[in-house]
Amino acid sequence: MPPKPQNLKNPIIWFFASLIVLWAAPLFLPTFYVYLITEILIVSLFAVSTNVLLGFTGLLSFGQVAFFGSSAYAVSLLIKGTSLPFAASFFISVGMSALAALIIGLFCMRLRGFYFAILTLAFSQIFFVVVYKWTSLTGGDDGIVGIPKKPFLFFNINGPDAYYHFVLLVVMVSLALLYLIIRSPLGEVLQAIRDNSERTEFLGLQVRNYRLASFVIAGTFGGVAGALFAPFQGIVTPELLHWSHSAEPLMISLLGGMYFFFGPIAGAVIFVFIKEWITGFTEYWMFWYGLLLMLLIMYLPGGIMGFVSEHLKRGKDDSR
Amino acid sequence: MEFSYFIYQLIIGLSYSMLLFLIASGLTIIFGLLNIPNFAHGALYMLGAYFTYFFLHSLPGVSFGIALVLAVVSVGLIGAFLEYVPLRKIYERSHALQLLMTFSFILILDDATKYFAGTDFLSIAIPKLMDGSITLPGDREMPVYSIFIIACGLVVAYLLWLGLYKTRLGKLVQAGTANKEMLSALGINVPRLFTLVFILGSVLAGLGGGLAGPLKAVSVGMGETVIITIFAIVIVGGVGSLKGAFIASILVGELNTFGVVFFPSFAMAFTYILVIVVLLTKPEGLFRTK
Amino acid sequence: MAKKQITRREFVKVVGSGALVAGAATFGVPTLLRAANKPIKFGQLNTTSGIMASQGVPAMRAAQIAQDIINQAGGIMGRKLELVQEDDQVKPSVGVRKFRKLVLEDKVDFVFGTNSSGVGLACVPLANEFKKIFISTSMSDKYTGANCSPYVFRIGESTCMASKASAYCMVANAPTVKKWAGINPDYVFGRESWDFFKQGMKDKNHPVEYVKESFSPFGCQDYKPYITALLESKADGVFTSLWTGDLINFVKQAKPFGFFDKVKAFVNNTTAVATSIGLGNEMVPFWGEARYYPFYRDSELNRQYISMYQKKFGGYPAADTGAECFASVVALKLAIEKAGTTDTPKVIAALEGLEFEVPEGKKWIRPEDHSGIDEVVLLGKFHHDPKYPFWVYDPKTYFTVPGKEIAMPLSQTGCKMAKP
Repeated sequence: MPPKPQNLKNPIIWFFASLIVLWAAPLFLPTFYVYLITEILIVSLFAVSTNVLLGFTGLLSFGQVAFFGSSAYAVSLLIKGTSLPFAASFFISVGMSALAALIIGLFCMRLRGFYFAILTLAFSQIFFVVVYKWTSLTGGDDGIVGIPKKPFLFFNINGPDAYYHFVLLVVMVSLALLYLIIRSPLGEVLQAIRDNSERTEFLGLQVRNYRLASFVIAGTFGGVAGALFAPFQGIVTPELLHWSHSAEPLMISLLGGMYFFFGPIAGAVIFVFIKEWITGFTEYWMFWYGLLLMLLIMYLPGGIMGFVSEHLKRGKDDSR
Repeated sequence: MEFSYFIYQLIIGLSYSMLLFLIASGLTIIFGLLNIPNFAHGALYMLGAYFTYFFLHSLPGVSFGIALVLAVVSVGLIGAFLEYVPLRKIYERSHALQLLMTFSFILILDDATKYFAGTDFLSIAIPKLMDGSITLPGDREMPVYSIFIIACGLVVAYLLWLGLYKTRLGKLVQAGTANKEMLSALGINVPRLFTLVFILGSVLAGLGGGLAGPLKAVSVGMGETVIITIFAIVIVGGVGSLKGAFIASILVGELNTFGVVFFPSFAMAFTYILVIVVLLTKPEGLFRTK
Repeated sequence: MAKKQITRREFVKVVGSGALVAGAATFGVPTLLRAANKPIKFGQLNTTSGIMASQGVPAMRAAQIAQDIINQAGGIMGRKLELVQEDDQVKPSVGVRKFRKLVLEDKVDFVFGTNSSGVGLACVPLANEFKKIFISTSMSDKYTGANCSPYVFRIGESTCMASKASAYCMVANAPTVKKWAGINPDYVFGRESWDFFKQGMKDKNHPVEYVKESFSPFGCQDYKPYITALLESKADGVFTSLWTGDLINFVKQAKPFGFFDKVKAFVNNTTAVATSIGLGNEMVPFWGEARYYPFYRDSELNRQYISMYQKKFGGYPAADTGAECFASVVALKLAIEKAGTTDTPKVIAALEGLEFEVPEGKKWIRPEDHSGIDEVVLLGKFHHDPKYPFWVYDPKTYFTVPGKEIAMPLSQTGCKMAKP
């Protein structure tokens, strides 16, 4: 049985405190780490959005890259191909992801369990094939290279620190929105569906519509992550839409603790650092990485947050 | 298209279908009974090919058939270990966590293979007896080995059918696939049954890999190139359904063959289009079992 | 030990002569920059995990051999050469992250490598952003096309060169084959290869008919439908740019159909010897075009490359990309010595027009577009020779094309080189 979510005592204070600390981070960190944290922020948002489905609605989607990737491609094409301001390109791309999630979601909602997972995978692979084959528009497997960081509204976001601050703001606002959604009545219903969809149906709630809402929310914020990612990398390639890329946010959510809102964030931090570290020191990084994953799952099946909260609880119980 | 060419392509497609079935049958049985989506099934397939190569080249005077049997036994042993040690810990967990666990097996098995066998491609020769082809009407060639693969697929399908429907063990597997509580109620040693079935599934993956060996570049990562197709087959056929896996393998194999003939530019998407069409009309696969 | 001394000296001679050709009078002169005695760092990106490890691992090893040779001979201007190697996992996003790590964390002076153009092209904007030289070892003509950059070089053969050389070879060696077909991988490299092959036929005014063109997905498992369709088209000649595992799968599945008896000419533009090693006794006599072929060039450096590789890793240095990585290290070394500094703009200037000796022969870097051009490009027809553990080119069939003849003409590259 999934643990009850624990609310932050003072979410507003937490929000501003972490924003201030992270905002100041580039003052102390070498540029490489600024890039790395930018990436962790984007990956975190993608993972948290995926976890709205996985951890809070109980839906295993293998197709979230469809929304991340299509938004990344849309924003790149709009930036390079039109004179639209970046903010407009950004919101159009996110809107397209939301629309794509709505359409695909309508098809997928009838399915359960692993059938749902494979159907979402099949849809996302269709996106992959289209991008891979439509060479005249997308550059095929060579991708779209040289995506500039145009100003967002009146803000110059060119340069590693400036873009980091931009990503930080967007990700923090997105995470706050997602947090509010999960804590809202809608979020409560989603978790009830996750725990027992039949009972929720008996209560007269349209499970299908709630699931669809969850799917669209996840797709939209996956799209935000994608639209941030494209200018950050300066390039988009079909790899972003490949199914294997869908596994990443799932893995991060599981490692971090999928029943916790902040689980995927903890997962993303650890995942990116561990991978960076292991791949740096051995050619056989896959072996060690796989072994680590296996042991983590065997001994920390609730993820890092699950482990931490268990111990905190135990500590409280002991002190009582 | 003239009729004889149509029949010819049908047989060509069937040889691919049967290879897919050999691999998919193991996955669907495991998935059906143990309820574990074993993502590492492709890695076991790869090991089947590597072990076949290894036994063929390291033991003097070993024929392809014997190497294949030894390989299949080895893969079965590895499967037994995977089930007995890590997987047993997570039977009650979510599919997502199980997927991640089996994904970690891929990373470990792939890199271990790279460590022991190196990164060069390896090649298994087609056994002498089955080299060459027979000429069909219209001056078209049919490789003997492809016919052999078709025969293997049919024989394995028949044996599995016999095993599942005509033996006590098979009936238990079926019962367990439909309803897990029933097994414990019957006083069956469930963990042992699970181990046995996982070994059976691994053996089938290894057999598929060994038989595919002479048609492929044996290389690290060859499992990942088939695993999605195999999962698609299992899902389209209906999880746990042997009949479903058989029919779905034929659908995927023939679709790929005729698709390449008629709509070559969509070749990458055939399998996914099939998945979408089938699941939208039959949300639990062609032959649902539970 | 004594033996090693000799090889070292011989290497100095060989590379030294290359440097002299390049007009590097500074070679061998003790550098004045004694203070700067810390190593010169080269960063390398290649794929050492997953399905492309067969290409990337030998690439890493080849670069290590170059490093050993250079350091044994005293390094670069008295400074040691240090390689920092990273696995790009054939993923552009990982390649970009690792490129940043190499430049920002490891503080490398230069970057080279990549097995796939997808990863390599993703690194181009970073080279521009960080103002670091990036030498690509993958084949795309785009490095040196409209988006060419002063910081970016492509060291080896391009898709254009490899495909046109294949066409020229067929015109010369299979003039009676008039009905051609293609089976190529369904991505940019495959499509470009096929177009350049046809362009090569046109260059030679060779009248041919194209009866079938087919494109198969990457990692295709079942080539039989493609094989039967090619046979059904009654083509006499087949051109392919399939490579690594895909090519091996194709050959193994085509052979039982009697494909290589029915088709009179079969030519491949990316046949690393690795394909022949991978196929072993299953190899068939087809025409191959390799960026590096170990047994052609009779030079001290080539012999040393092979023997050191065999001693350290066993087996032959067979992967194409390996030789390109070796060439990248050598080119950078010579350019640094010619410039007398690791300062990027000066090294760029030194690389432009550099002529140098690598295991496969002489190379030249065309200054206008930074395209590496081999003196000759070699093709040959594979045959069984009991002297070797795998099939090699029949020396009677060696066919060479001057690299300058098949390089994309400057008027067509669309490259307008900016100042660094």
